[in-house]
Amino acid sequence: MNDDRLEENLLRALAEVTAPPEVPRAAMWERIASGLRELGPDRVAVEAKQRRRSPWAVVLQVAAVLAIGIAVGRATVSRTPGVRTRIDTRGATSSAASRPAALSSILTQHLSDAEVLLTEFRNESGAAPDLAMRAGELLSTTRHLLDAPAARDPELHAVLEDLELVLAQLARLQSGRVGDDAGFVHETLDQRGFPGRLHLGSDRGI
Amino acid sequence: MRFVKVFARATVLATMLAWGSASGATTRTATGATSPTTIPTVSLAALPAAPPVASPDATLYRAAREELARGAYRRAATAFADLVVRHPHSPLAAEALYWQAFALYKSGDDTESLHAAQAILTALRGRDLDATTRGEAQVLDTRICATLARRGHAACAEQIATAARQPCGASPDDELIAALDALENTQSTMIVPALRTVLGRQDICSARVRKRAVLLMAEQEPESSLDILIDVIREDPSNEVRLQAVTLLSDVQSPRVVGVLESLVHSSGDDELRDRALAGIATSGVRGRRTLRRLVEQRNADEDLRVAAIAGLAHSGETSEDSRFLRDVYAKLDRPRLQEKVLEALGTMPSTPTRKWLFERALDAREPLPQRRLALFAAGQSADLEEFAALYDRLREPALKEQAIVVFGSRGGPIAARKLEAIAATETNPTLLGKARFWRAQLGESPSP
Repeated sequence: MNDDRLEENLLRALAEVTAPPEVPRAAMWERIASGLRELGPDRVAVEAKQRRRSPWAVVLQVAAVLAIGIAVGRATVSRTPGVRTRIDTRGATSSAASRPAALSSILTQHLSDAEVLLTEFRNESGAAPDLAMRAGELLSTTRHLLDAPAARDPELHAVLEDLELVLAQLARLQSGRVGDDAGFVHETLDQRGFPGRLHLGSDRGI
Repeated sequence: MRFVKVFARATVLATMLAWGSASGATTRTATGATSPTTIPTVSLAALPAAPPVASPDATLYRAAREELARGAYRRAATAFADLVVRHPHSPLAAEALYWQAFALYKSGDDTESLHAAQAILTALRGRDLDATTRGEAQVLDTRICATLARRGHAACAEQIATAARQPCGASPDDELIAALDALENTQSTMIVPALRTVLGRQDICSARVRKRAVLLMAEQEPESSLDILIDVIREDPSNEVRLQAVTLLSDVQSPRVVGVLESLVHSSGDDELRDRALAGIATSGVRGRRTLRRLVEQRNADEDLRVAAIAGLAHSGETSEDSRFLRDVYAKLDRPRLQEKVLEALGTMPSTPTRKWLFERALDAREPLPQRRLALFAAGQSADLEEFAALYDRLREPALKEQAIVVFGSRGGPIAARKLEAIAATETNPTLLGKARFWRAQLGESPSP
């Protein structure tokens, strides 16, 4: 195929790349579900329910209990006062307080895991063997959190957006190809203020 | 908006022209766009360790990655497209295509850019790629499709539904997880059956996939999710998955939740699972807190459990009633460790009655010294510093004075600094004198007159 013909095809293709007409979502899913149902009796049992996207709905309390509360009971406070052992109550008073407990817990853990990974990467000259795999897993969770309704705090969202960029790069680091690629990741870390921003995020309970 | 459309079209057109110049066949993507499929074969696995430093394609690649690092996604997409257009046979072209699609996806959620990114990913997946790139291209495509499906794009919705119904193991975990996430994000009614299938196939679905399924299940209606989560807690072979289910159970809005968590607390032999259940109880309102109080008082209950219950009360968010309970129960507690935990917990529940009670414990000579020190420290966390400074003068035991000095040092500020100076000027005990000087030096600035 010559270039003119190709260009013609592409232009036609691009003309098709326009916003599709809006389709009522419920009807769309119903149609897809029934189509899939026809593939086999036990394949799909569509629940015609009115979904309530709430989960993280409850409010309150306790990433603190999970991340801190139990820890207070077990470890956080020194049993021999005399050193600085201010009890950490941040989870109960920070922005995390308005976020359901389980999501706060998962967020806190996720930011902490990401911080560990990025710090490891920062401090090591080469990529650890499992670094790309761990980055891939964290990337998946980051994307889930980006979509979580209760994680739409603008500041948190910005951190997660930038974290997605960093982790996407780390997940593509392959052994034997770390030279320049690792350099690009380091540059991104510098530009986006990581891993420090994650630490600040954890401290603020976001 | 006009700019966005022009930008997206120009970017994808230029890229396709460059990549398609060696072929001509086209294929239709899920979104209906066509794109060339016969593209120069590029195997990422066979790429050299690093691109030649001074080669023109490497220079363009570097410039594009720098834009990416800056978060300048539109400029990055253009720069990656530029590389592909100028050097379609470069060993960096496939990598550039992936990042071009990524940059388009990140540049905003306008439909044009997303379609452009999809077209590029479709073309990229048609090539001889390493497994990592192929998988990431698929995951990115699914994610983009979720956004389009939310806008009613039926082809994308079908693509997601099909991917989410793949049995575990048919594709890499990341791809199935992305499809399940996408199904949830598009508010599909098919999500619950899909999750139920994953959680029911512990034999073929990895713990990682099941863990994500638990997370997504907890976001569904209680009548759909509760029994499934309970089954997971009882039956899933992975401790990690069970813990995730217990953690998320407390967010499920159902009156049955506290009862389930209570039975876990009393019956589980797994400490971590028990702690998570207890944490869930602490967030479960009045009934949950009543359960915790009962546990604190139960002399025959495991001591660690009672300690955790005290901590749970401290962080349940209902301070006045719970702090009154902790003050009342303190004298009845049969173990010094439990008393210490109550004092620590009360330090996190500041209120005037609690501070007064803590001061009384600190000054009560009948109390064991360790408890008095803890009470002093706990009170000091929130006490008015003038009041705390006055209290210092009533202390006789050096161990208590030392504790108070630490409080001044950790609280800081002009009042604390002045008090430390006064102690340093009058104290005759060399240990206390040294502590006061040390903490005063730590505070740095001079106190205001």
